[in-house]
Amino acid sequence: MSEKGRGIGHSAGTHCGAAKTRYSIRQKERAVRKSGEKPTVVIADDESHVRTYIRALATRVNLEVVGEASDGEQAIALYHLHQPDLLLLDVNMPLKTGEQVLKEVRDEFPHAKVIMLSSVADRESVETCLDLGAAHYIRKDCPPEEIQSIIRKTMESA
Amino acid sequence: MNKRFDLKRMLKEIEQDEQVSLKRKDQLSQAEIGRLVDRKQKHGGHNDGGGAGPVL
Repeated sequence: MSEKGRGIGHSAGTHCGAAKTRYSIRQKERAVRKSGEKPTVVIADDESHVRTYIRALATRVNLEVVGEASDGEQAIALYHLHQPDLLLLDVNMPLKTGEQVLKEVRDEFPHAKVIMLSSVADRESVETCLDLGAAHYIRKDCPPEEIQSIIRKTMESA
Repeated sequence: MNKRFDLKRMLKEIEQDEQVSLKRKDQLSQAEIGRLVDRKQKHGGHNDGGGAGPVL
């Protein structure tokens, strides 16, 4: 898929009526999704090399990357558009922080699975994200096998 | 000579500042984060208050 197709380099839309119509269409699509289909993920990180790295790890655990966002607003728009099974979300991003995105997404989709990604993991940030409903919090510097394991376990959890 | 001395002093100050900032950030290891996640899940996703200390 091209960068443009993933949402990079163009506006992926904003909160509006048309977008909400797309959400309901997407929900219907999800309802008829075949059981053998791969779970989907949207990756949000402002650094392209991190997105590439996380995309590789997500693909290895059999996830289909349906969107990539380089800022918080794009992350929200892509979440609404695709309603993925998982959102991998950087904490520090322009326009809207990961915490803001997490809150907005979980407010609207209480069952959304979101894993936070960060290069720093101070207790306050981790606890805030978990309180806002994040399923997990991953330090980007931890071994790739551990990141994959956390993603896999999160997808297996109810 | 004075200039070299100043540079050394500045470097030391920077190193000390870095140490302070690292302590202030109270960085958690991935294992510690995992334990926090487990605890949150056991308590229904709510903060039980045990371990949520102020950021120094």
